[in-house]
Formats: sequence, structure tokens, C-alpha cells
Amino acid sequence: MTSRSLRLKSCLLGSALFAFALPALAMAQPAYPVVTQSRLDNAAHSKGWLMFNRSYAGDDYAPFAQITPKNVGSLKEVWSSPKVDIPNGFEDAPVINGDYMFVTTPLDHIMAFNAKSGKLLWKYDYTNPQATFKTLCCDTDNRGVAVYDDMVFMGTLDNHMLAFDAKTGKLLWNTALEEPGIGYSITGAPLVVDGKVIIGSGGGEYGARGFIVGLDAKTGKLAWKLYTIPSPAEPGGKTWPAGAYKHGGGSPWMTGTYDPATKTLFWGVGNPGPWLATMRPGKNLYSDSLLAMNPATGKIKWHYQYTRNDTWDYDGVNTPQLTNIKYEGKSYKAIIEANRNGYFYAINRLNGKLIYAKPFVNDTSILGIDKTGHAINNPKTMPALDKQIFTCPSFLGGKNWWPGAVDPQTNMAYVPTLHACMTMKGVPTSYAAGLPYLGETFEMKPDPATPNELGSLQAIDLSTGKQVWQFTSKEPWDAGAMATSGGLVFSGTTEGTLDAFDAKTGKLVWTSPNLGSGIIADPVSYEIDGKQYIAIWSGWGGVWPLWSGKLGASLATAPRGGQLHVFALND
Amino acid sequence: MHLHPRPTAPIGTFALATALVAALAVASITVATAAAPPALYTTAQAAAGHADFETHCSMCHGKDLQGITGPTLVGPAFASESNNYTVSAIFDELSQQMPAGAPGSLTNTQYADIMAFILSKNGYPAGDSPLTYDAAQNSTTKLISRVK
Repeated sequence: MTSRSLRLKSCLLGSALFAFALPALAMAQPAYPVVTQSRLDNAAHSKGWLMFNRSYAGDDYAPFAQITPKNVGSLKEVWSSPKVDIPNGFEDAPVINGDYMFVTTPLDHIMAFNAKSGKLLWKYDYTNPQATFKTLCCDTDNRGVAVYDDMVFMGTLDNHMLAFDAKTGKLLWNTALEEPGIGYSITGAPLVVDGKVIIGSGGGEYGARGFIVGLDAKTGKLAWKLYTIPSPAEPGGKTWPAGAYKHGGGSPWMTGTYDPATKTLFWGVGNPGPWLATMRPGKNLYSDSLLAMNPATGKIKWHYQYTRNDTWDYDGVNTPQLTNIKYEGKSYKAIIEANRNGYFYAINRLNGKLIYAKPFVNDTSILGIDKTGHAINNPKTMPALDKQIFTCPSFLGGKNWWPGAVDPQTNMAYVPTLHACMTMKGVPTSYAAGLPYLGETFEMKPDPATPNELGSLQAIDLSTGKQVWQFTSKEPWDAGAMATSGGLVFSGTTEGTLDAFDAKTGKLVWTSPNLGSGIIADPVSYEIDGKQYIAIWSGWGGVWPLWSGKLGASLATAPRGGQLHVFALND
Repeated sequence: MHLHPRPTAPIGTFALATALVAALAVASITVATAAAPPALYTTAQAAAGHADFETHCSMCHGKDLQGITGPTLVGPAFASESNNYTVSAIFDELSQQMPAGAPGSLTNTQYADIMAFILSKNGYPAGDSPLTYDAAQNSTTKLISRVK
């Protein structure tokens, strides 16, 4: 019986060589702490890192104070993964529970490591059919997993959700959500709330009508599905010309957040399709919006639309981070979001009303905020057929998907920022399944306000929405930022170093040795046996080298390939 | 039953501009005459397009058009019967959006040559007349890959 069960297990693993090692691994397997809903509700206080943005608040803030601005200089790499020879961008944020660390790579491979020793515990190599690669706008990304009970969940580029046994890597269920090659893809990390695995689709560049689903964590069965673009019979359906909703985009491709106090799920929705707004007069709900939803049913409670009738690809998918703020003498339970449209938003998370919105980059697309609390589009910078415009920020936004951090000690948000502009011009287009549905040509240009600085990491005071400090960079700031209670902000660079900044002042206090390839991922931190660790993927790729044109020339031949690096203080 | 195009016996479904033409094409299938795909470009043009492809496209689409970060441009995963693309639909993407990040930066001749190269790799034969930019832009010829 024993040998049979071992043989069965080994069938699930990619290589025969690895199968030989399995009996030894099985014996050495650490205990797996079951992930309950209560542990997820309290993930902010966990010693591990239990979800993509650490906690339901999505604040990427770790309450570990062992590493400080004073001692960060003695941070050393304590283990690293084998180099992963995939020439695409590594965007995964590791998830750590007990001694287990779960990571993913581009092309949907998943690995479990011992978070302390770096020993590989199991791996699973998923294979996407060839048609998958036809409808990926922005590389073969996988941003990571969710954990619940004794399971790990991962989405795939060909629109499947997979559940694995966390200890063994055995595939437990595999649910197909959509066909590949039509327009849809999944790149985001799922979020688990009350036994539902929640994920959103990508495909806004291919006219794919976005959706968010909740799947039963035990079985993988569909519990609910919400289309982010309503049909004419639904609320918001009349904000589109007749029939346009079918290919209206609105991809909710990033991971949402959740407020356990009100049982409200918050999820951002991407750009409308096609890009050219003159083809779809109206507000185009719920494109570029924040949705507040019931996680048990997928029903919308309220929405806030950042950009109406968007024509600049200003997705509203950046992490809606939950925090409590004081603004002009009043206290609010807020959501803050550094939006692609270049405005930093604070929204009342109980009712969806705007608290404030202020530009955090040079912005010519948005003229300001109207009396109803919504962005005013600049008609002069909206392209039309044969009308070329120049505007800022670019289609990659003032900030793209890279998670920022919110630090309750400093009362600041740390925002990885892109300073670039673009030209755009309308061109005729018609929908064809599997082909881009844009109706615009576009080219990235330097920002005339900061022509020699494509990126910065900036700190924004939550009580004012104003910049406190900024660390600028010649290259784009293309990676996530994490803050710690030790008074540090960590982020990666395109050159391939992990950097640490004094959270209060923005002073660069530590730079790692070069990690072999540029960093576009988000760092995480965890504590085992009283020791604080910092983990980050290197692995250049993602959206910048694909779409930056001439601005990306200096990084066009940057080294590729991924590797996970884990740091701790020298004992 | 789903019919798969094969290089040895391609089933012609090109130029289905009108119902009449469609009916004729169906008739040709019933008598089992393999309709040859049309010759839209010249050998020299495809060779020129190959060189341009290597310089401007292969870093994303691969030297063999197999796809890397950009989609594959060969075989049924590129253009199947069910996709039902036309040459002009693909040429619009090529000439308007590519190369990614620098759209419209090649000459009309280069775009037409690259289209010729893509056609050649998908089982379309060379002929006596080159493919012009205007002809590619207006071509209602179906682009269904003849290779696996």
C-alpha cells in the first residue's frame, strides 16, 4: 500500500528524478497550519504572509521590527531558489504559512519551499495550450496563490482555477472558467473569503467582457459570476451604446481586498473596450471602477467610477487599500487607491463617496474633480479617428499594477510611480475574437515635466493626499513596495537590486547585491523562530519591455530569467 | 465533423465575399478538388519580409513565428477556420499596432513584405505579383493557416 501511494503521488510531479526524492521529502515534511477564516481575517498580525497583499486590507505592511534603518546594512541573502530559465516577467508575491512558502512563475508553474531552509517541498508545472498565448497583452504573468484550509489555489493563463493539497502538491480540482484564445486570460492571485475562491478575468485589450467569479473552495464549483459590464437590462446597462456591452472589456484582472467588519469585497475593474472612446459614448459602467460587493453572492453594493468614458487605458484595478484616515478634521474608514489616471484617491469605504482625489503625477488627461466627486476628462487630450493627441500619464498610468504599501506608523502611502506620457490616435477597428480590439495607436513618450526621470517611489501623506518625499529614478519604478514596522520601505529596481528606504524620510539606506535580473515583483516579509525574512523574485519582463517603445531602449537587452531571493540579518 | 485544413489537401474557403461564391466553394469541396490558396505575393518579397521580421518582430514573436511574449503567427493557434480571419484583419493589426511600442514606424513596403512572409509561413504560395500595402489593407481573402 505504501509503495503504491508513493508511486501515485510521484505521478503528479514533473520529473522522474524528483520522484526518487519524494519518500525522503515526505518524511521531512513540516506540519501544515490549517488556514481558517479567522486566520485570514487576522492575516495582518500573522507571522507569515497569508495572501497576495498580506492582509484583507491590502496594505502590504508587515508588523516586523527586527530589521531597521540602523541594522539593515547587515542584511544577507540566506537562501535562493534555483534559477528559473523562463525569459518572461516574474510578478509573484510569495505566500507564507508556517514553514511553507508557495510561489508561482510565469507560464503557471507553482512551487512550495521550506520558508526557513529553502528546500523544495513540491512543484507542479502547468501546461497552457498554444491558443492561450494569442490573447496575452502583457507577458505570461502569474502573480501568485491564495491559501485556505489545507489547500492552495492558482489561476492560469488559459482561464482555469486549480486547487492543490498544500502539503503534497496533489491537484485536488481544476475548474475551467473560459476558453483560451478568445480574449480572456487569468494572471492575478485569487482571494479567499468565507470559503469562496474569488478571481477576476483579464482581456480588456481583446474585447473580452470582464467577469469576477466565486468558486466553492472545497469543490471548485461556481458559486457566482458577475460580469463587470452590465447587459442593457441590468443597472448601468444604459451607459453603453446598444450591443457594445458584449465586447466592453472591463477586466478585473488584479486581486481585490475585503472588509470583514461589513463583509464587503472590494474589486477594481479595468479599461473599457475598444480603447477609442468615440466608439462607445456614455459612462461605460463599470469600466475603470471600484466595485463594493457581497462576497457570498457577487452582488454589487455600490460602485465608484474613477474615469468615465475612458479612452486612455486607465484601468481601475490598482489595489483598493483599506485604511482609516483623518482629512480636514473628520475621521473616515477609507479606501485609498493610486489610480492609473494619475490621481491619488481616498474614498469612504462605507458608501463609496469621494473624500479627496489629488494628482500624484503630471496629469493632462484629467482636468480636476467635479462637484459630484468625479474626474473631469480633458476633451482636448481625447483622441478620435485621425486626431492624434499627446497626454500624461501614459497608458501604463501614473501607477501600474505594482502593489504599494500603507504604513499606519508614518500615516503614509508608498506609491511606485511611472512618469511617462504618450501619443494616441484613433484608427478604425472592428471586433474579431482573438484579435486586439483597440481602435487606437499609441506610443510612449517622456514626460516633459521630468524628461530624465521615468520613475519614482513616492510617499503620500494620507491626511492630505500630498507628497511627503520622493526618490526618483532614471528608469521606471516597475516593482511593488512593502513597508515594515521596523521603519523601512522595500522595493526592487529594474537594474536588479532590492532597495530599502527610511520610511519617514525616503533616504536610501540599503541596496542589495545585483540579483541577476531586473525586479518587477512585490517584496514580502515573514517571521519564523523569531527571525525576520524578506523575500523577492528577480526576473525582468512584464509590460514595460513590451510596450515602452523607444523609452525602453536602455533595458531592451536586460538579462532575463527568474530567481527567488530570501534575506535575513547576519547572525 | 470538424474539418481540419491539411497542407496536402487544403480545403479552400477563401474569398467568401458573397453567398454565391460560398456556394461555389462548397461545391468544390463536394467534388474533392483541393482549392489552392491564392498566390498573393512574390518569393523575393517574402524573403525581404523575412529579414524585416527578424529585425523588428522576432524578439516577441520568435524566429520561427512560434510566439514568445507576442502571440504565435503560424498554425491553427494563430489563424484557424473558426477564427475566420481575413488578410486585411491581420494586416490592420500589423500595420497599425506593430512593432509594439512604435506603431507605424516601418514603411508601407516593409509592412507588406512582412505580411508576405507571414502568408508564406502559413502555407500560402508565392506568385508573380507582389502584395501591395493597399491590396493587403483591402484584402477579403481568408487567412486560415494551412500548416499544423
